[in-house]
Amino acid sequence: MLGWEFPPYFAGGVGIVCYELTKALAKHGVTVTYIMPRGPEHVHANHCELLVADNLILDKRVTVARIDSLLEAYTGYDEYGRRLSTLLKHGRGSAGKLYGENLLQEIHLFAEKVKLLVTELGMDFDVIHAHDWTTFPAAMALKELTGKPLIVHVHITEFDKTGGEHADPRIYAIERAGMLAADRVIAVSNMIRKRCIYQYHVPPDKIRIVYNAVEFNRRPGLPEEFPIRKQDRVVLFLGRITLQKGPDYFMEAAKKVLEMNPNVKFVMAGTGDMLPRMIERAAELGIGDKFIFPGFVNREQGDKLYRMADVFVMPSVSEPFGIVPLEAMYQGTPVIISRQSGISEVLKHALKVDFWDVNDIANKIMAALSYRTLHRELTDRGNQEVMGFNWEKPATEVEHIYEEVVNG
Amino acid sequence: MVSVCFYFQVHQPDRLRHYSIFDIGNHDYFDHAKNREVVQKVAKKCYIPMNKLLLKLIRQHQGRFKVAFSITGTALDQFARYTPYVLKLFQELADTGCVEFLAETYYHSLSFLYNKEEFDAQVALHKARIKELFNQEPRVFRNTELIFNNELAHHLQAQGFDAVLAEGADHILGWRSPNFLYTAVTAPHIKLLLKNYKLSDDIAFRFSNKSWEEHPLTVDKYVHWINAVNGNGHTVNLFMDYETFGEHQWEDTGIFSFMEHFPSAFLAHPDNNFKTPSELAAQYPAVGELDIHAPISWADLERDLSAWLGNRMQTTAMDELYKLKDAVMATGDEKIIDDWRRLTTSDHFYYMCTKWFSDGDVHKYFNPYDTPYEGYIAFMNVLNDFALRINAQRPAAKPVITETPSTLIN
Repeated sequence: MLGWEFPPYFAGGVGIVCYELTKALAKHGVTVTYIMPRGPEHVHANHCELLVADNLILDKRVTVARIDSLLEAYTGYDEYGRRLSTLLKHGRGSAGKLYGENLLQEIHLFAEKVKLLVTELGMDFDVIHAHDWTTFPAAMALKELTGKPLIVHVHITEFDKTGGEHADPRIYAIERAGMLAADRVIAVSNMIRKRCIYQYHVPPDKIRIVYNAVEFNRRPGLPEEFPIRKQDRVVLFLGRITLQKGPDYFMEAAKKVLEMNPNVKFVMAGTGDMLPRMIERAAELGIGDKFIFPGFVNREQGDKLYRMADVFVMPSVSEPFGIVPLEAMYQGTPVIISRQSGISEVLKHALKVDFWDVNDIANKIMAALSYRTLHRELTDRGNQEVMGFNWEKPATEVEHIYEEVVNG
Repeated sequence: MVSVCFYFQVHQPDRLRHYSIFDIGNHDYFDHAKNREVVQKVAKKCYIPMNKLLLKLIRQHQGRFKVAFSITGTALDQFARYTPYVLKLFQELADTGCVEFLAETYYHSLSFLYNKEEFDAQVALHKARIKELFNQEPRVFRNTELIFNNELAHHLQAQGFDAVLAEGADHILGWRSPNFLYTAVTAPHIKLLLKNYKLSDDIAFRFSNKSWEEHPLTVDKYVHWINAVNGNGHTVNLFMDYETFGEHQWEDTGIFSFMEHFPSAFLAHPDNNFKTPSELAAQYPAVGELDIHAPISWADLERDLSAWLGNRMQTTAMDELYKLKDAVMATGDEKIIDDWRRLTTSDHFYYMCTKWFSDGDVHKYFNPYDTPYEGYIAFMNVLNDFALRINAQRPAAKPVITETPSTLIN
């Protein structure tokens, strides 16, 4: 299996997905060798959360082979250039020699290293399973080298990251080449499946949908007192504050809610390139005092925020899957999610909105904050529903896909 | 001898708009465009062709083919407003003398379970409308969704009805057959006509189901099944939604052709005849008593109330709605009273049902909302406007509902 991140080096959800999927596959008796590029030792990305490796001891069936590389999650060309120069500035002069000049080179370097690794170790395997575009050149090289069937797993595409505009044609080309070279394409939602068909022209019969799951290895918190909730209700946004996540729609909806009832506080947790603009916008709208921007929050703080909130909102413009609402539901908080998310295809006990429909978002926030029965029903049923998500089902589905490609 | 009694239910609800909290203050609650679109579509696919077919059959069989209808007041209002030709065809059917019209609540409501006074008022309104349009005084009652229990039988007996329709549910019949008439233990003078759900659903639900082992259902086969009742039953009561013809079962399934040929094939047997509900009640004795305490209905496998009152949203919405009743009536404002009554229609509560969430089957098809939660939100928003509207007329009155946007949860 080829991945771009794996705990403790992960930037978003894909690392966790790879971790949980390999763990569940191992339970099924599938032996997985996971190859990933080695990232810088300090994970400095402004949107990531760090898990301690000791807490995440792998099953013996999973071997992690790290390959030197500067590949890291969510890195576009521009950011890659910046990071490389940062490394150089911080006196790691050797970086200039060890790592390629740009991301594209890195990806191909990774491909060469993977080939070398597989050849030198004399690795034997049945299937190549690659996660997202940065690993596609390596996966294709490996397929060419060994003739083994290739499965590419699409968690997100360039179109989703850029909100449909300014997609980088070089990244698009790599994504498309990988999908076309693959024997099967795994899409994490119907939304991604449609993207693969309409934006990447992948033959529909090659695509399989496997929805992600979630593993709750920590307990939901106990009820506790939050001073902020004494007189105000709390509405939470938690995620990267970027175009893709729709924080601006959250803010416009907040304005409408506050016009109706001033006893509501809005928490916008996370960081991202739109954060300064959001702080400014809150002031412009005259609701600066109603907004709290705690910045980056770790997992524990996140759980606390979920429990503190009376309703959680995920107004994403485009969300291939979207695991965050499940975390909120696990902590007993009703959720409002955009219909433009993969999770809305499978989640039942959630309120659903179109991300652009600010009136409807505000309407549903107000309803969740004032109709007790609705709040209670969403809390109880949502909590029950989220308990039903686990990795057993997706692992079984992935195993079937392995069998499909191996047996032709 | 075996009789067949056809009863067709005709209903269209006044669907609500996606009424937002920010719409409060606007007293126009109903999605007129959607309601017009639906009723005109169903008229074209079902009401018009089927009414014409029934007219043809009635004329062809010269009094030997008969049917009964129960048409809700909300449906009649929509016909009058959006597709008057349908109403004209129903009137032509009434003029044949072979069509009986039943009584029900004007607004297709669950009022019997919540407020008897309101129930009586809605039944009276419906009877008056049937008299006005079809010149008939209904003698047989059909409650919303065939909801029935001992108490209903008792209540209707006091009002002088001859018979009442109910579901022939297995759990109330046990070893007994739905093909006889019964009475309820509480009401010896009012007869129960029970739906033969197996033979009814063969037409209403299974007709076009290709995985059903009896598919395709031919007229000969079906008549053969009914003839088998001869000697061990008086009547086969085929009760179903009228929209079965052309809407649930599309024309290309052959449903119209089936109905066109069924009467003559059935009447070919000299012992067979068609009866209306009143005729059944007059002709056949009750063979036994049934004791039905908990309400039954014709819905789903459960045959109970869970489709309308199965979760807390449904019961809360219903409680809040009926809490407003006295204040609504006290306004004496016809428009307010009519609007409130249109909110009692059972469909609004059906849309909030969560029990078949995963099936996405027939129920989803009829639901204008994405999720039951949306149905609840729209309904509660409307109800909140309603409370404000009433309070504006009666400033001394306190707000009467508890789920309101002005008081946040704690």
